[in-house]
Amino acid sequence: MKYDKLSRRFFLQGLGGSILTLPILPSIMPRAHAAVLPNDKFLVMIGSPHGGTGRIGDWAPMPALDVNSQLLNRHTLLPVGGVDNIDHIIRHARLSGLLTANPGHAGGNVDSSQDRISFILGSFFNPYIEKMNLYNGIDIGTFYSGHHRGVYSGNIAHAVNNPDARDAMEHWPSLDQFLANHPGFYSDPASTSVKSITNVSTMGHAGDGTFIPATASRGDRLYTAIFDKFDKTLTPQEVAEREKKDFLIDRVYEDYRRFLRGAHGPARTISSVDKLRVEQHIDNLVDIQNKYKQIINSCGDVTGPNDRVSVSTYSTTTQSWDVLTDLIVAAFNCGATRLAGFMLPENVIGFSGNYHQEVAHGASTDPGRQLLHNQNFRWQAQNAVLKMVQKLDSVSVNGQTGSILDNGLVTWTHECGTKTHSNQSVGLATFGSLGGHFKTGNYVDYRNQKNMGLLNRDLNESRPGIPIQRFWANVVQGFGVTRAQFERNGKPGYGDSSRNDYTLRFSQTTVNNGHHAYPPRIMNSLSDLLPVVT
Amino acid sequence: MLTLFTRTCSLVPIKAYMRKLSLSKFKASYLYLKRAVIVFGIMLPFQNCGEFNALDSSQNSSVVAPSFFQCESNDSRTPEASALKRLNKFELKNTIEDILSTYLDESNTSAFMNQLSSYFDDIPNDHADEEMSHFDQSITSQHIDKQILLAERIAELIMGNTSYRDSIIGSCAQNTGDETCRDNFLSDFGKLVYRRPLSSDDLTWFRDVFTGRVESYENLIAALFSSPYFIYHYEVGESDISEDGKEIVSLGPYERASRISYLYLQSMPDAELFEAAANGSIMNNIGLRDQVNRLLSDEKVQSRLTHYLSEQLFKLEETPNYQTNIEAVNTMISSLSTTESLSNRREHMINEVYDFMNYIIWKKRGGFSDLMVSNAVFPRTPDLAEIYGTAVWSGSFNEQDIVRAPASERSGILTRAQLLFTGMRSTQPIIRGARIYNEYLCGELPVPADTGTPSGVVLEDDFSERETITAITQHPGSACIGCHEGVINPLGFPFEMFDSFGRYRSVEDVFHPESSVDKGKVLVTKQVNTNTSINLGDTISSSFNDAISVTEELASNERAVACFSLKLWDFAAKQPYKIGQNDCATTSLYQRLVETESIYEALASIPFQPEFFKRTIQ
Repeated sequence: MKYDKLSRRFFLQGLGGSILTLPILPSIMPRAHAAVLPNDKFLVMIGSPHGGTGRIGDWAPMPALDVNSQLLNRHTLLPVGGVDNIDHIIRHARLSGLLTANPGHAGGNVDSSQDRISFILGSFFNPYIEKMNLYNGIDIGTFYSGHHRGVYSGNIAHAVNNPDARDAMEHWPSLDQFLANHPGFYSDPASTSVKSITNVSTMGHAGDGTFIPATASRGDRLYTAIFDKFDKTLTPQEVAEREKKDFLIDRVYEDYRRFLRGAHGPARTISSVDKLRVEQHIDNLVDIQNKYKQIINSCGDVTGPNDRVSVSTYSTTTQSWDVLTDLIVAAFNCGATRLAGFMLPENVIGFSGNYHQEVAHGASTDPGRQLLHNQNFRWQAQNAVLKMVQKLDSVSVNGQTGSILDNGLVTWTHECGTKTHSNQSVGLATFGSLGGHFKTGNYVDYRNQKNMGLLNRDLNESRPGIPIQRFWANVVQGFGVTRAQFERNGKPGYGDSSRNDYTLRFSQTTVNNGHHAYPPRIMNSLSDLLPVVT
Repeated sequence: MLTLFTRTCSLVPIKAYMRKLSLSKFKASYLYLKRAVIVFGIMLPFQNCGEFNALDSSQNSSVVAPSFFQCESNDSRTPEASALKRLNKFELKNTIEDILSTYLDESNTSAFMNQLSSYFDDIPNDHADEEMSHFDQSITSQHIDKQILLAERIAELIMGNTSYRDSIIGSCAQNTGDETCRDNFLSDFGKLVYRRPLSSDDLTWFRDVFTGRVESYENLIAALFSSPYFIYHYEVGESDISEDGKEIVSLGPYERASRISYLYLQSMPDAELFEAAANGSIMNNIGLRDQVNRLLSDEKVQSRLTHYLSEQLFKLEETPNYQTNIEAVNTMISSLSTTESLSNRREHMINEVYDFMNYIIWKKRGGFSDLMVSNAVFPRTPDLAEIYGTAVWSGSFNEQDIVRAPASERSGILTRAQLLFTGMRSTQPIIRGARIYNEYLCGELPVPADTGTPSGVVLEDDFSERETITAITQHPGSACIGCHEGVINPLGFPFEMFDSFGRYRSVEDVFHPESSVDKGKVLVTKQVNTNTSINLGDTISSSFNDAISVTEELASNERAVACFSLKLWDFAAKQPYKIGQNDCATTSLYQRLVETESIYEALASIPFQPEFFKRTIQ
């Protein structure tokens, strides 16, 4: 019998949309060695300036806005006690149960009536909802924040426009710097080319008030910074191993095709149901081959971008984020680093005026400006965050279990809450489980549903949630760091939480109208694992 | 019915006769007889009691099936439709081990398998939420990727070790040009991997793998172990049947051999099964009976079946660990007089379930009631003996060597340390109760609507576990009260006679809260309350003093026996059924369980169910 020869192009076609030239690299790492390595963990922190996505469901799922929604479960975060002498009741649900095609989103029907989380977190995220968490009620919770770039990466003291507050807080290392310098995080620091990849200096903080310079803001320089130190020559053994692997995958693929064609003896064929299952198997084989194309056994295997594309926070082209994503994924894959943080641009929609003042600050009072602002976020979601998630999920470190996304965490943090400069309910979505540390697929709202009468206005917004130091504490614990190792002077939480003693307020709009400190029981639990998601 | 069996045990016809009594009288009659037998020194059916000899167990049973079963006709018994099933992880490992052991001795096979262990670990575990894990038929890129790596590793190990290579491939390994030698290897080795003889088509394809490759045998072996004929249970049947619009195939001899083998051995057919497939004897009931009897008397089969059946029925891999971050747990650990690592303690509890099941199924040839009420315990180590308050078991299954806990303290599988152990301070009566309802009575509890504590609940530090659970879940007006007061708590509270480590107790140590400075210290000691009133309509409606009386009720409860029958069929069919769905097979197993009081007999009857060798594909 003559068999169809496998179409080599089918397997060897390039990665769609990728700028980098990643070689076709099957696994060549000695497998006996690879199989015993523990899984590495990764962190990517993405920051979006301003926040201020509004209260109209453009960010959060529509059903979650109804305080009485029966779609959400209740959970007692803390029982009766504290200054308010009430339970702290939070709400949560599986994200998959909250999808709607609700055209009431300000952005309208841009997802062809498909169910989606929200206008910003459009249907393009649907394949990843089981690997993501969406948070509400994570508060900066300190003071009128001005611009607060430290919120992206873990330095609560970094308030750009509020020197009074800034000086009163102790700087604390950003999460990437803390982890990079944590003993044992990089088992072989000599092979680590950069501690953390960043595109802007404000993402990285040393912990003493100084910024860590950006790795680079241009693709070619970023490539040089990460990969130049590695040998780029393949050994004959590596070449032979790659050919061998390629051959095997081809044969396996052909075997399944043969199976589908019905080589089962006289007159017997497999059923349509079985065919469907085998076809799914073949689809997975194609995925595997694609993964092997991206598996990089040596950082020297990575080739650089072809032009000098900017990857700075001012770059508004999709190409920029493709390059940055490819470089980060390649660096993670080959072991050049395991940490990255980058900030996204504020005006990708081409607004010709002063975006900062007219759109970001005008959004809360002008629905048209709010829509523009949220279109900016949707662009970021689709062209930067989603691409990072997709690529991290399509790649496994050789010899390790699960994708890099499964073993890592991508945090997408907005600078503020639902209004610009609001310090409550910061926009926060995460992807990946950090090797199982986080339970994913959840929407969780940490605001206290019982605290209805706390303030006289903006009830939905004004309910206190929990300070972001607790979320950060959960992140570093996911990397195996103990409380004693990350707590500041033995105080719960990651970073400085001391300002809560007198100025923790739940809304900057009520500075002179009802200040409320977080109950001590909240502050005492800032190092505790978060319910629902851990 | 009596003509269907050839038994050497005189008690069996008596038991069968008893089944002719109405089922409601059965319990009292049987317990009466059991006592009489013990008084007169007659042993209950035991080892070598006779072989399974049913030619078709689906017919002519005198046992009246429970009314909730719906099996109106035996004429068209077909399984539910299913797609091609893959080897589960346990089967994959066993199959590879058995292929290797065909060529290598025990120590070499063991050494080989040890070198594969991390590769098996990398393959995603089978998991199916609340169901048996072997229902999991997901096949992700992760599965395929890791299976290919495993296949490559097998090939590397064979070719990288001259002893392995020469034993498995023979002289042609060094002479790829010897086509006769190569084809012989392909035919022999390929048959084991494919679980059927290779067709000429297969041989042609594999010869192609050799073309121009110096490492051809390595490629060939890796390709074989990555093949769909190895990864999947290849079942295309030898004839089509169309019934009621369904497409059904009747399995051919090699497919039958695999079905039996993967039922009992969780592995590929052995040489005798291959032979029975080759000569066609497996296609008739007499030949099939011979194979069933042979397999079930094999210690290797008994061991694997015991392990896998136990794993699937009792979810042993989910046995919790000790929660040493809880001070009260540390206090409880420090109160143990035996020295043993916590991980070993956990392992010992799991192994005891295997020993218990081994005893019930194979040594005692016991039935469901034995499973539910036997007070035999099998603590191989002092740490577990301390939990049971008994002597250490010698490892002998001779009846006089069996260690028995006081009958007032232990009664069957539900009082095993492994099933009672929570690893925390809490005894988790909710979990215990829900488990009985879901897994032993085949009930279906709705997903809790609200995980928070209802408002208005007042909890005191000195509340016992029962008082705490009652306050939270039976709070008037709460959404929880329906399921908890009516179903879960009454089934779970009787087991408060065991602490969270599985020790029998009459009093409960209530610890200071973990938030207290006195955490880990006992606040108060209270008498445990194990009284319960279970009202599940026709299923159970009675009051009980403790867990022992509850297990006695379950042992003869129609619904519980039916549920166990359903679990056995689920296990055999590798897909979940509910009562009311494909009930004929379950009915037949139920009748067999009741008639013979033998789990062994029920297991032996599975291949004789008309559904077993059919496959509905659409």
